[in-house]
Amino acid sequence: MNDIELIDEYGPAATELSDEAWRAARTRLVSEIEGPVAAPARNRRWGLLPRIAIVGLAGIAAVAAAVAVLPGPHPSFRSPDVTAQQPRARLSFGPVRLVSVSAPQFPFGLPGLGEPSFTADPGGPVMGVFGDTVNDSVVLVPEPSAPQGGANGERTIEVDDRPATILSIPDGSGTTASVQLTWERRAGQWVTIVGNGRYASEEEVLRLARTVVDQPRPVKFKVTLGLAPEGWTLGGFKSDESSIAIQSYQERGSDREVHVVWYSAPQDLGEAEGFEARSEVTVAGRPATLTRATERWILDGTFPDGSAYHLMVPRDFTEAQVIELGESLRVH
Amino acid sequence: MQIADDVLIRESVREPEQFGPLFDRHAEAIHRYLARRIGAHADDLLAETFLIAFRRRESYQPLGLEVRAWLYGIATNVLHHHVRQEERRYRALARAAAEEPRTHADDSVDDRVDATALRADLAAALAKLKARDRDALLLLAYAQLSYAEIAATLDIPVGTVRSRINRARKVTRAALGSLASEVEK
Repeated sequence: MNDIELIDEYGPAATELSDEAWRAARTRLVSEIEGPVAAPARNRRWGLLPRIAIVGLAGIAAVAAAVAVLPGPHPSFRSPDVTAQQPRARLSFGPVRLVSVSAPQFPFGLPGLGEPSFTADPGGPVMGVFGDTVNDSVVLVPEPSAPQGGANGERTIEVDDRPATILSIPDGSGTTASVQLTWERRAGQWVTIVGNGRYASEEEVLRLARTVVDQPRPVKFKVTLGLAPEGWTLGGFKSDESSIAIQSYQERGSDREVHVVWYSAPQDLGEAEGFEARSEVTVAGRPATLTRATERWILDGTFPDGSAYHLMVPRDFTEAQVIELGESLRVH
Repeated sequence: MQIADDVLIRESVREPEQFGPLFDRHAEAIHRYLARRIGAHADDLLAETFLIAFRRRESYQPLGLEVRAWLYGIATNVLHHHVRQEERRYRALARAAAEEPRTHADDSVDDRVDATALRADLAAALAKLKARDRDALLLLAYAQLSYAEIAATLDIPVGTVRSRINRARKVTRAALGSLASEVEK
């Protein structure tokens, strides 16, 4: 073993690439590939269907949704997701307006399959993933509108006299890895269910579809922003629940984002890139540090339970808006 | 048969979706490289690396540089924005390792070597390197790129790669101490 090999052997070890991090990075890339104005995902080759299968195979503990923040209730099926509440009186005079937001909700349950974890593609609805094992899972997707269909191999059928389409997805060896069913569960309410692994048969997916119940539940985030820029989207979420959690809102068609990181304990993150100035401020009655950098504001503070937040906001927000966003943070 | 990486990149200029499989093929290796250098922040830098790669796919030149090496180069450039964070991590690792109870290395290497001390000394040495020297050394050690690939990746002459790596090796050999001397005999 030469010294280069020794460096490889004894140099700092890598942290493992978690499913959540892999998925979050992939989702960002998919979003970039598909562009800011995405067509229905299922019609694209790197689209919804294979991603659902991957979601099912990989196991889920993350949400990367992109649900627009609007100053009123969403129409139709999307309303249980992230919505702005009553638009508050104008909170400040910056170039963006902050509006109240609440955690998105997932509308369904599958009796006998326990509590779901969640994920979502940019521009798409929150998906619930049921099942205890990585390989065997069931994914439920509330569709915001009647699907357009058209995937290769898709068949038109009926489920309890309502229209439906069903599709089997083979893996590399030809074995059925996933079965996807989209059906009109009630008049105007379209749902997709995907069975992976041992749930990947048409009979099982049809059986499970008939057991879906209305069971609205909040999609739990470790840290949440109570305010977000109007019209921005919930761009990403990941969490290991015990030491770090991230939530972000993004502006459509740009890389501007409001990004909050929660840590179980305060971190020494060093000087910010492009550092310009630092000031001590009060956020929700607690001391915090506001850093102005070339491209962003950074607000660092703590919650009453001793955990900490690191909030990054584009520089064109006003200082008052940064404080308002900080004051809207909640840890759960 | 799997489509070659460079074909996917070329096709992705016309059909952007063709770029997707490159992430599936290389994300784990690129993340490992980033994580060894910067720790948990690698999760975010992984996404940044592939976003930059996608945006620059038209500029990819297949001659003399595999896609894998090209991605390592982008990851290395991304790390340039976080040099101080990387160095702080090395210093923290060195401190943490120095405070740990001493254990012995795997017998397959050399059971006389104090592995914990070695890791501490090596981390401290990596923190001392000039950033550009460290880039070259770690592309060689972690990514197993050739001198020619490193040169193409960093857009520098091969001779410059050689001198940077030689300079870096002098520092790290001192940290590896007697073990490095013994293995070179």
